[in-house]
Formats: sequence, C-alpha cells, structure tokens
Amino acid sequence: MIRNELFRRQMKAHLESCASCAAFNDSLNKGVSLIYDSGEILVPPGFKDRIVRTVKEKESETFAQPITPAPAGLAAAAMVAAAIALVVFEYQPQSPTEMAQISQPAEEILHTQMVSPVQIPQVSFTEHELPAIVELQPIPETGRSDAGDDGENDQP
Amino acid sequence: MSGNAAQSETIHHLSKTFRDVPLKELDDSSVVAAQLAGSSLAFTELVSRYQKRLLNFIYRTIGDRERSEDLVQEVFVRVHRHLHRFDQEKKFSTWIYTIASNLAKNELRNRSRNPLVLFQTIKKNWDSEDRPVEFEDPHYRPDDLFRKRHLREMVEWSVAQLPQHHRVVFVLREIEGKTYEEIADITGCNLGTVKSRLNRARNRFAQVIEPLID
Repeated sequence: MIRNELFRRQMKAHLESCASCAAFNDSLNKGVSLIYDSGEILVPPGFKDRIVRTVKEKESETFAQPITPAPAGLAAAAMVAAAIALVVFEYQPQSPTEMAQISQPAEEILHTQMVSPVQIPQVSFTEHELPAIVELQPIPETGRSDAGDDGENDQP
Repeated sequence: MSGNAAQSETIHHLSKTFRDVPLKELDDSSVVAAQLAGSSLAFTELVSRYQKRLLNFIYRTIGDRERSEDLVQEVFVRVHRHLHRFDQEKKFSTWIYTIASNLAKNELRNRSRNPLVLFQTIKKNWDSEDRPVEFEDPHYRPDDLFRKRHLREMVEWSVAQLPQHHRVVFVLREIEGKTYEEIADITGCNLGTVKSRLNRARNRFAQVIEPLID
C-alpha cells in the first residue's frame, strides 16, 4: 500500500513509539480486513440475462417512441408568426381614403413620418387681428350658470 | 475511398477478427471495439465481467441490495446507449465505474432529500432475516454464514457512517483497490481532494469500527 520504502520505515518507527497512532492503525487494518472477511455479494441467478433483457427492452422503447415534438422555441416562433399573419389579414380598409393610404408606398409613408412626425401650423397674428378672431370664436355652452362658478350663491 | 466506406471496411475487418478470437480472451478495450463493430455477444461479455464488481461497489456505497441491482442495470443501459461516445484511449473500467459512481451518488442525494425513501431503506435493514437467499454463498456452513452476515452488517453500518463523498472514495480505494489516479478520474476530483477525503474517511471508519472489533 505504501510504495515509498523510506516512508514505510519512518511510519513503522513512528508506530512503534506512538501508542495512539498504533491503535488507530490497528483499528483501520482490522476494519479493512473485516470488509474482505465479510465476503463479496453474489449476483442473483439470472442477473446477467435480466440486465441484457432490460437493455434490449429500453433500446426498443427508445426506437418505438414517436417523433419527438418540436422544440418549445420552434412552437413559440410558429405562434408569433400566426399572430402576425392574423393581424395583417384581419385588417380590411374601410374607405377610399384608407385605400389610398394603404396604396401609398411604404417608403413614402415612413419618410413622411420620420422627417415631420407632427405637422404644427405656424400662425402669427397682429394686434389688430387678434380681437376679431376672439370675437369669432363661439363660446361653448356648458349648461351651468356663470353665477354658480364664483361661489356667491353658496353663502348660507 | 470515401470515409464511410473506409470505416465500414474497418468494422467489417474487426468483426471478422473478433469472430475468430473468443471474447473471453480479449481485454476490455477489444471487447468494446467488438461491440462497436457489431458483435452481438460483446455486450454480454462486458456484463459478465462487471456485474459482480459493480453490484458490490454500489451496494457498499448505498447499502440497499435491491436498489443496487436496479442501479447496476441502469449502468449497463447507459453503457449500451453511450458506448459510441466512450474515448477508447482511456480505460473502460474507469468509465463504467464513473457511471456507477454517479448513479450511486445521485441515489444517496435523493435519499437525503426524500425522507420516505430513507425510511424505507432503514425499515428494510431492520428486517435483516428477510434478505434474499441468493445473497449468501451456499458453499459456506451455517455458522460461517452467521459469522459472515454479522461481519457484513458491522462493516456496512460502519461504512454507512461515512459522509457520502468520503464513502465513495473509501469504497473505491479499500474495497475495489483502485489507484488514487483512477479514483480521481472516477469521481472527477483532483488528486489532493482524493487523498484528503480518503484520509478523513479512514480516520472516521477506524473510529467507528474500533469498538465493534473486540
């Protein structure tokens, strides 16, 4: 067990002088020899045939299995593609304007949206024009009296 | 000549060679090559060579006879399924012991996590008289059988006191007689870890078995 002869001699010398190590070594050697004395386990009769049969059965099960289902990633990709197709084909243009928008080339639409996403008209008024414009604006009728807003009638 | 044609010719040549030589006379690597070359009896020869050794190794590690038999079967199922992946430059025995060791460790891990399995194992060990007849060698006399059974129980109990990582290393070294290098390959540990675990396992085993010896 100990290959190095020098180490073996040192160990032997130490075991002769050290009682606790000698006792430990004795227990270990006896214990290990007990393992051998207790004998080997015998294989049950027909064990080899059973193993070979099991292996063949497992292999045939493997080959008999149906085609493995598609991986989850492929299934997910198929679902996404189906959803996109549904959205595209479900959308039906309702009016000639929409038809015209749809018939507009995609690049043109994209260009318009990218260059000027929101078209805000730049209008300026002179001081003389402004009162006339304000007068022209209709006042929205809310159904509530103006008197109620200042809170005078709320006094007890 | 294409690669496939050359390969099939090599396999044909090998199978012809293996037909002429009895499998029992071949070493492990040749039997493996015969199996890969399509010999139908090569696998049975591997089972013959390793069934008893693996059964003893797994049984010493997990301490459950019936489960050990199941695990030995599982080892051979995996060997048969993955033999084409075995690196033939290496020792077959190291490879098959690695599979057995991994299965045994998984079994111990599952038991530690599943109290029901642990309870069933302990309960089985209470009923030592219920052990199967083929467990014992019929050539021994009854008093020898009794002594051996007593010894075996004592040793099993002592080995079972070792932590699982130490137990695998201890069984591989002290019972299977593997070298440190082989144990390192089988367990996937480096040499220093193997020596350290073995040292601790020996210390613990000696402590546990000492009061039982006298």
